[in-house]
Amino acid sequence: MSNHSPGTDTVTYDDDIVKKFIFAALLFGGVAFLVGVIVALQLAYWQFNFDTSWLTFGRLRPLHTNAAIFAFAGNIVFAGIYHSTQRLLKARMFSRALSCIHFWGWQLIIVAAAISLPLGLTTGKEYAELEWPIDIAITLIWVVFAINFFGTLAKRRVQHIYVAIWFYIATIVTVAVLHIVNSLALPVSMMKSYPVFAGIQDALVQWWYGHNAVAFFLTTPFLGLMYYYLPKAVQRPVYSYRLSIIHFWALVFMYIWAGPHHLLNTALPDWAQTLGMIFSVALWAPSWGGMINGLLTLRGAWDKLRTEPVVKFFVAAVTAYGMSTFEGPLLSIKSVSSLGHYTDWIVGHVHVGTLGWNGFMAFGISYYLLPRIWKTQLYSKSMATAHFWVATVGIVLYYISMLSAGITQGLMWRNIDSAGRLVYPDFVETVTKIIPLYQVRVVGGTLFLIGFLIMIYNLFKTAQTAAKDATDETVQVAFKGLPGVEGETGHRKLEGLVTAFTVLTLIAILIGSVLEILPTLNLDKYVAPASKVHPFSPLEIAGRDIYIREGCYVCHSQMIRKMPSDVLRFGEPSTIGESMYDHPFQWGSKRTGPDLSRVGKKYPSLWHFRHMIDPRSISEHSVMPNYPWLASQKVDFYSLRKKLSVLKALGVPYSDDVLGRADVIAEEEARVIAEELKGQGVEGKIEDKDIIALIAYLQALGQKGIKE
Amino acid sequence: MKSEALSQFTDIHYTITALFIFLVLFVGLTLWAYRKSGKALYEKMGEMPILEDLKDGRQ
Repeated sequence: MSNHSPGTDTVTYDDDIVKKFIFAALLFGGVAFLVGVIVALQLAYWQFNFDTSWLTFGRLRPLHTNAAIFAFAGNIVFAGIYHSTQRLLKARMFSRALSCIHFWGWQLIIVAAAISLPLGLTTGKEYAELEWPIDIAITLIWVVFAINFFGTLAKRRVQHIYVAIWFYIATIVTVAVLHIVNSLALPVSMMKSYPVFAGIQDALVQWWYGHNAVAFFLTTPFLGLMYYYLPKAVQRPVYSYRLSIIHFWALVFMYIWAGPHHLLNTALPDWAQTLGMIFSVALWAPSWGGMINGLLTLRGAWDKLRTEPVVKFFVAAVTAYGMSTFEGPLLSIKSVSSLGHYTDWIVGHVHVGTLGWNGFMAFGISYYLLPRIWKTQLYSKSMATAHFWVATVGIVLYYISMLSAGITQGLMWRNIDSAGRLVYPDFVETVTKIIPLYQVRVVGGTLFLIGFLIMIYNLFKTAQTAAKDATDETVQVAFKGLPGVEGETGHRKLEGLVTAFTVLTLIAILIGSVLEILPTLNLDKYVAPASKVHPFSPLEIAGRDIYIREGCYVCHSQMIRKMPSDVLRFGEPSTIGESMYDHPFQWGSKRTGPDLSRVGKKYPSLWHFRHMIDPRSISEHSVMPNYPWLASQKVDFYSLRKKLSVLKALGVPYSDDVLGRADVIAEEEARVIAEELKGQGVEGKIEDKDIIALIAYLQALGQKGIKE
Repeated sequence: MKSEALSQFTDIHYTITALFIFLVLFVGLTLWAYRKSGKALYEKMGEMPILEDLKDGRQ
């Protein structure tokens, strides 16, 4: 820093780190979209699972979601935050070293995820699949980010803190709370752990996390970016600053309650369902306040929508935000949820948010930022416009196909004739019906990917015209103190305000979290179900871990809702007790295949054996992948003692005798099942294979709760 | 059947407490945000992202 004139200082912004984060976002965005197209293909044509363990849908789907959320959206958020924060605070980032640690640490985490998820190393909790060492790394890197961010706030050269910064603060604070609480687990080995919560408690914590990952990783930071980049792009101040204040506080306070809308009509206590539903519906108001605030920022500048691709992307993004925040509350109404839950409607809903809102914001920011950082002009505006239209058609095809698929299948599931019987009792019938729509989705996703590739080419050509001697942008700021503030006291006072503000935000999110989750965490005070439920046997635990490893929960639920159609199809509604020893819970969120909570003893073991090797040999039109490796891969019997002892430490009542002989017991259980299968004509040495453990687990489902 | 009883368990106090806290905060916040004296400040605040562009005369 050098003094130019008395009383002023030159601040040089660090744009190199911004560039790095954008590159990473674009690189991993490509991966996320490509894997998305692959998993879409797998649902339309099961052959695309290639009979290969690390390429099956159950393992690639978590890779797709993690890449899209944490790698693509995450990196673009960091790029936008690092760029806009420096300018809004008139200060260079607190520490270049911390910026670099943040950047490289985050990319290492992504690489670790990209390796571990296809290998089946997963916790089995949606959007929180990464195993405990990676979880710890995420926490550390997040702390580095927080120190860097708050450090920059402390050395800022402006008096007031713009609303975008508020949204960033809420993001940093809340993501930390969510990640730490939901990732609490006891390790079994380097890449295996069991979460401390089980059953309904795990379900509530998981969806408190899951929905707020959407809220505080995909919404609040992007809203902050919207409040900065939209005014920048149209050269108008935000429509109403007052509205943005209300938008912020209402959103931060209300979002945290919304999680239980993922668990409507389940065994979750009704009061928690109602609470989640009411707050979800109420969220419509602040969300649309924000959307209107964003769109009306264009007042008097709507002509830019015609000429500027960046503005096109921003306006479409904010519109997508408005649409998905209208549909979200709608889907959170219990009766609408009873139709939409477990169907592709939810998948469509999510993709309007991710592709439309997050994707288009990210593209708009990339088109806006890179030419400016390179001190040049975008290579081709018409190419960017082409990207916009190709991607928009892609999103429309994606959404319409999934909406139709979801409602079609939902209506088929619940169709009961006048005699009280299911009109479509065969589950697969409801799947074959929507396969053509799955094919349309592949087209939609591919268009989105093509649009993205057009952007990459455009930006690549732009980079070639970059000014060779481009230096980082600088700004002149008052040398000492802040405008309108006298001396140290004023400065300190303001720093104090940032702290107070952060604490207020924390309180706002903790009110909802505590009031909603705590009663459920104390459930054991009301129920003493130990006498009613048996824990899984050692071999069943081994099978359960295989079930989690293969991502079975991605397509199969284990939660029969209290609805006639669910009960007619799958049996008695699931109870809280039945999953009370499930670390993690396996209630699921999507039924591409049928619910499995009462599948135990429904079919002979041979049925399961043949079905896992070749589902089509049992059900002609099944879309399930083949799992041939289950019949050749060996069960890890020896880790069972450790696994059971960890589960016991978490409260699952295993006797010392079972703990001490877990592997021996499991081998004996496996021998019995293998003998039965051999008697029915299965050949080879199968008693030590994964498939036997998985069959043991499947046959135990629904068999552990004892009716009083 | 304690667990079934529990699934029907409706603790109205939690819901009411939550709504009450929210309502009070929301009304208070709205009144505070829309107080008249804030007008000039908010106009200044809203211009923060584009302040430099305005100075440059790029508008």
